[in-house]
Amino acid sequence: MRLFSRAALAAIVISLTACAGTPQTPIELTPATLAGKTRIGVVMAKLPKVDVNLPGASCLLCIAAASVANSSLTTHTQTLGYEDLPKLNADLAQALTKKGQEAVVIDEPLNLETLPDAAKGANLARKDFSSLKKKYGVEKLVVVELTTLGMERSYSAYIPNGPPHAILAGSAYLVNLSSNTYEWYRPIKLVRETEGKWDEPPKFPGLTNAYFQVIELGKDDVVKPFKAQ
Amino acid sequence: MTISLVARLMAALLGLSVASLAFAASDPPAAGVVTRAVPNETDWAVRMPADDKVAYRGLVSQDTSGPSGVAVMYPAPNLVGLFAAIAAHGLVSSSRQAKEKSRVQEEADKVLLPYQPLLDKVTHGLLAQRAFERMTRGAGKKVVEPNATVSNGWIIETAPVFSVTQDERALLLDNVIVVRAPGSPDVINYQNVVRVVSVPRPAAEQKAGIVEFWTADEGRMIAQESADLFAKSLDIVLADLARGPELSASAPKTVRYKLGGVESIERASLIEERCDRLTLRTLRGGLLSIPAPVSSCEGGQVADKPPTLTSGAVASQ
Repeated sequence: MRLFSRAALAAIVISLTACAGTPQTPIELTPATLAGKTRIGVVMAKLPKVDVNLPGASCLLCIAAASVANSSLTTHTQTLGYEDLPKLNADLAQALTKKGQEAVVIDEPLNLETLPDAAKGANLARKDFSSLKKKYGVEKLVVVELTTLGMERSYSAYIPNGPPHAILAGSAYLVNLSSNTYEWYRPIKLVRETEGKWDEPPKFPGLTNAYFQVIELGKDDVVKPFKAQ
Repeated sequence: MTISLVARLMAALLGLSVASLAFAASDPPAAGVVTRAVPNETDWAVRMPADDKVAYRGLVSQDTSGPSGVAVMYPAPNLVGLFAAIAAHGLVSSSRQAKEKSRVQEEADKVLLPYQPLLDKVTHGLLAQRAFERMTRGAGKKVVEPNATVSNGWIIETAPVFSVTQDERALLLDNVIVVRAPGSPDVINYQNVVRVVSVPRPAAEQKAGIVEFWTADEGRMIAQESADLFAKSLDIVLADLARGPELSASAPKTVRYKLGGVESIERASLIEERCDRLTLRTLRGGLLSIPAPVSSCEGGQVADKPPTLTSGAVASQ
């Protein structure tokens, strides 16, 4: 009994500790951030798989029921491409060049999993990017890190809270590779619902349209701060 | 005996096949699918909605953060209780979603308040009359009563719904179209939704100026612009019918255009490009007509300019 209590306590502590990570707050791009000519690399993190997310379908049976209910949408969503998202770093580099920076387009997608975790602290980058300073010969690095791309339908257990929508989420940031600190950090979450009905298998034209809309909106969202400065 | 049984079975199967073919033949075609080309010089009977008042609404913004997922604990004394709880949750959730949709539309419709008395005077009869004067396609056009029988002639049924953008700078028409061929008025030959977007009023214009523009002279401009969009929508459908069953082969691309002051995005295939306007086919097969990003019209070409109180011939109300 005593062993059981200790195990339960340990589980609670682990759960709470896991939730204790403070999300990075946004850091605005100011004219001071881009003062002076700096060699800045621009890279896309490896893009996530285009897929359907079902948040809120929390129990095992709920997940199974929601997955079955949305199987044709999942099949279709997984056929959708990235359009020109992989070239977003080129658009960013162009905007940086116009601001007088020496922008370097890094074509190879960055696999963040290969980088070591960094020390935690205010505005410190989650990963240790310092090794990339020498690798790419740059002083700073703009990273576009998308974590969710595709469709999302939220659930309350077995019941959907509404129709699915297209989603693009992640973050974009500028890291000073000498200090491994964020000098600009922008969380991204863009969703778009269909106009009219959504349940149009097998090609789901309404949701497909919404998907390409969030891609365009996402590109704007990342590049806009650099155009505004 | 056995042969007779086989023969009967064969006959039954044949009958079923013919019946299923007949059923398939009477199925309406998918949106935008042209089953039979209709020459440009065709006479048309135009059937407007029974309600003579033209529908206007406020345009709902597509931006949304979406509902978030919530874990729910169901009271489940037994399996039947669990299913009952899930069913009740589903009913409540659907009702809430319908109410939310209705609330959003009601909120969007508030943009119509300054115009409502004038919009109430726009009738389908007047709309059609003015649109026919502006159309460039089709031969004769006449409005027929909603329940009138047209025994021998092409029929085009239309249900236009206009939307006003929230910045009041532009109008948008969604026109639901059904076409019926001569001699078979019960069969749908073509069906589609056509969206036509107007050129927005200049961005520098103040809100008071925009309201004044649309409401001046008993709402002459709002009626004129409505008729212009309606005429364009019918012309676009007639052009689609004249092209015949061959669909545009161009691959869909992402297109950006202005809905008033707000940028809108659509995935669509280009059908026709004019100096002032683009016609596209959406992923649903619908037709979309948008102002060209930059008008390249030169002398002699008709440019689709923002409506002005002084330009062009104005039909009296």
